[in-house]
Amino acid sequence: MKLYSALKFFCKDILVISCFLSGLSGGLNGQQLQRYTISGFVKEAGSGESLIGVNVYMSDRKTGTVTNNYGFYSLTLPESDSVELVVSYVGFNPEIRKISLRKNTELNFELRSDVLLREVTISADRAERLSESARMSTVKLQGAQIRNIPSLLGEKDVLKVLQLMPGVQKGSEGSSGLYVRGGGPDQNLIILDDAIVYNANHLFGFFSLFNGNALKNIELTKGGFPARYGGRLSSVLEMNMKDGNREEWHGEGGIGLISSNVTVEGPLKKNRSSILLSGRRTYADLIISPILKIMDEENTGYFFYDLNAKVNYDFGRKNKLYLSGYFGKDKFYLKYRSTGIKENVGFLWGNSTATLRWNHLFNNKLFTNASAVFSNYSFGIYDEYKVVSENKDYYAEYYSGIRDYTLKYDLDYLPNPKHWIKGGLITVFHRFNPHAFIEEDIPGQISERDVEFIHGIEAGIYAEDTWHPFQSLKINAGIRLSHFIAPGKRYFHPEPRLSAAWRISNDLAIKASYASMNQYIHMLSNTGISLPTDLWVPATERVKPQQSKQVAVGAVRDFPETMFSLSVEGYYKKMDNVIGYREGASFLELNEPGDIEKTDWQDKVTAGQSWSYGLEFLLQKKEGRVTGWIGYTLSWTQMQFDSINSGRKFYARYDRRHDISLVAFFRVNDRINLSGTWVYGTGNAVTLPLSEYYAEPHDLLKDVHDPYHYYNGLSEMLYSRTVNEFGEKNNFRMRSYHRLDLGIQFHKTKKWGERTWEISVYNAYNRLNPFFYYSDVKYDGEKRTGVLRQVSLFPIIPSFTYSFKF
Amino acid sequence: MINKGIPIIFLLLFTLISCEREAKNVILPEFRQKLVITSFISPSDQVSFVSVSTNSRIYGDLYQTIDQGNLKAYMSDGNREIELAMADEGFEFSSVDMQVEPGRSYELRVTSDKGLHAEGFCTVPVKRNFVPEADTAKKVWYDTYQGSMNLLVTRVFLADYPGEDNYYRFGCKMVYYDPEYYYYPYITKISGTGSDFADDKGKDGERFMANSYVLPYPKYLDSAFLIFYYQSTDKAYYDYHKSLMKYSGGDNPFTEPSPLFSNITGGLGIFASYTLDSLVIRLR
Repeated sequence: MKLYSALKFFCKDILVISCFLSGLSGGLNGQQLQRYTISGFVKEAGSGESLIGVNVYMSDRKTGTVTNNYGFYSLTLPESDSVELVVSYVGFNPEIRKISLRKNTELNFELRSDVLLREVTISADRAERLSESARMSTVKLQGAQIRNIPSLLGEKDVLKVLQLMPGVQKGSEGSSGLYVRGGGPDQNLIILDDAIVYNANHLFGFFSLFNGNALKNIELTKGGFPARYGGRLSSVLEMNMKDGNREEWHGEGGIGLISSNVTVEGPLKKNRSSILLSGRRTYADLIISPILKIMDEENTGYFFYDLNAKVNYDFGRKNKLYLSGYFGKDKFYLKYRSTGIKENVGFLWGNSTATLRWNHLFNNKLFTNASAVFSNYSFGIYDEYKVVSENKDYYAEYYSGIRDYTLKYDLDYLPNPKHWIKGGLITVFHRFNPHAFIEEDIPGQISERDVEFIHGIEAGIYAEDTWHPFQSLKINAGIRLSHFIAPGKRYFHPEPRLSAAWRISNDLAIKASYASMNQYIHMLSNTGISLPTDLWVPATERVKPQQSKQVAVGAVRDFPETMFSLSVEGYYKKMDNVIGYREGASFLELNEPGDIEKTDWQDKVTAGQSWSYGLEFLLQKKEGRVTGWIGYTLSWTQMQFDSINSGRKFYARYDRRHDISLVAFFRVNDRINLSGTWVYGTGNAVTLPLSEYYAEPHDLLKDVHDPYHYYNGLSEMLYSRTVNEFGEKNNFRMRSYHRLDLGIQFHKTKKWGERTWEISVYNAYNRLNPFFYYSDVKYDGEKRTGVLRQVSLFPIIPSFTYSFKF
Repeated sequence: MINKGIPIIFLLLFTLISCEREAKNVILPEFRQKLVITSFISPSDQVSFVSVSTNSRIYGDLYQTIDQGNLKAYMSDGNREIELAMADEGFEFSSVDMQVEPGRSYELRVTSDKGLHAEGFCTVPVKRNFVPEADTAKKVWYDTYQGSMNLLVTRVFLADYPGEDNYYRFGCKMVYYDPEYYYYPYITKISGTGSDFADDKGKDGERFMANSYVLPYPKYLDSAFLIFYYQSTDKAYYDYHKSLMKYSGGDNPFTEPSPLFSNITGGLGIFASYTLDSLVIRLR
């Protein structure tokens, strides 16, 4: 009850502010008529799945709103004999209702998917136009888009689809890491049902964690961040899992070359409660393992799996409860057996999240959500060695990770169509585990135990208002107060946010935004790709929080007749206290995990600044038989660190002058879909050696020659050697990257449901894109020639996938 | 086995799916010949050496000869400049030609008639009394398989000089007489349990443990001494050696290359200085 009272008190405060704001705007407009509220939920017909971001529009008054993350909308209007509501959403048929507004009205909608209707009627007014939204720098994806895009080995991947958007770049071949507007992959806040996901990839970044079948909504924000988001500098990727079908049991699945997946969903109590379970597992190890056993070889294998689960219960219109979770693991193992010796070595890493959410509708204008979230990422190595005959055992275990406990409370208050006020607070208790090492050489007796935990508390409180002062102007203004309690230090930063859209005409809007962000946790990785060894650590007294300020301006033009929309955005982002790795620092020191604690990670990093600016063009067509988009980014990203590159500015590794993506889908008929993507990007900036020379250390004791040199633990590798001369950091551009992927899907309706065969080709013209370079010597008889060698990862790779739906 | 680490997994992956070939259609970095200088000067040296060589190409014809031309080297202490005498693989000068003094700055200049030119600058650290002290303790060490063993732990402490940035390097050798085996003193290097390099970051003006040395207890020896050397170095000396220790040549795609520190203008290498002291510790 105390919690409930506290929440009520908080809501009251926000309401006072919002009443003031709405009163202000009401006063300005001189509204005198009695006002009533139409509110409700928008769901998908046939499944009861709530729909996010649905446009609820009054065509006669040229005003409207969109549904929130739980499908709720609210419109408060002066009384009227007739109000026409148009409810529209991409991929769904619109619904139009006329009502008389003489009292507060609850009005729920169920939208029918286009696919079910077969006949596609194209209407430009159905979906929210880009020019209508106050927000900019935002990308929204739906499950269908992900399913239709051809992919590596047929594995559908949310993050790789996002890489096809302007302003979002991939790091290296095959990697699912996102580099958004010059920021690193550590600067992306990835949220799955309110839970923060760390190191969001499988198989060293080649596949992302997220199973497209379980996702309902994917939204990436690259700039103009509303105040509700905080904690990262470069982007927010918010994903919501499907709730599960509330009306009948359904399932879908797929069998691919490297993994299979299955999703089942259905009502636990019809129209009240539903469940969704979705799982995926790779099976290369299951095929290879028996063969290796027959060959009496070392048994080596790798697999990953993930499981999404969600249950919800509807206690009525006012209260809904959701419990969702994600559990995923990657494992690489090596089992060695020889006479009298058994050894098991393995790497194990994975994420788990759990979210309990309670939606409460205080009244038809005030919607709230309270969440309790658990999130965990861990990485571990184990080595178990047994000499059977001598009864000797050795066991060592190294692990690292991060665990979060989060409490979050958000409210949406919609006093009238001119205001949508959001407020909330969040507290995250982080438990960082930069390293832990446990060693046993006698069974049951730990000979060495070194476990380190660092704690930090991150908190934020925010308020924002999407204000529509007059028909052609929409403003989202807000502030977030962020606070972090680090070891030995407290940080507090106000983060103002502002974005505005001015509609010059019905189809043309210009937009601008400003956002100030702070990031209180850092990821340590100097590999340039996503590895499970990447460590998360807090800001400390020495290593300050990263900060950014971003301004963006743009224009959006809808072309309703042709169903195209074009957006052009320019941005400038300055980041401070960005973490870089001191020259020579490595976080891959796994040879002797026990030595890791001897070096403080803070000594390995250095803080600097970064500048990123560019232009993004996106021409997209969301409806019709041919859909898709063309994205182009022209950008520059530079960095400067006092202790790197002699303090001079240099281009970031992922600085990409030109980045182009073409994505097209063609629905040939009801049974056949064609799809293709072509990407082009300027090569990564890397550091190549210029020449080599012989370097000698100074050694006072070099005349002491003896065979019995006592080494006591730390033997420093100080000897004469040939070293490379490096010029400016990142002085060389790799060859440009380009690739074409093609796919064809054959759908067929069966008695039991629908099946789809998909044939796709990754890298259709077999372009050997560089993954990395190294210098080498080529021998040709007497001749020795120094050459640069290029390693490429993926040649042309065809794949087949069978999927089904019932 | 654990040592194989993640690189094994990558190796497996790359073996299965990657392809490697000579990179074509790329503009390789142009080779620029430079002089490479290595010189560490100290007031304690009677003769100081300056090693001079040249860098070599890593792309293109590697048999192509690289001639550094006829070299000349000059050393200046701010008041006067001397031309250095040729020596094996470089130049030398004696303390009679020019005295290396604590607290003084020196400029080294090397030129070649091929137009190559390199110069370095260093300031010899001021001579300080770091008040060295040592303590020794006997320790019994137990090993599951070898049983117990008596060890002697020697710890050496220095007092950092306050108000300035100090950089240190330590070295140790043991001199002992074992009448059963040798008729002369035997000398062996001893490495410490800690790093041989240190700076005074976070311990300015404080007394600190420079290093510790663990040895089998020399109960069968006639006599044994530890000679602990401690150098007070300039920052360039410290940075050069630290970067040489953690040098990574950029062939590993998963780590950033770490260039070797250089303070030579127009060339490569190091010109640095130090002062030297020692402490003799009698063990038996």
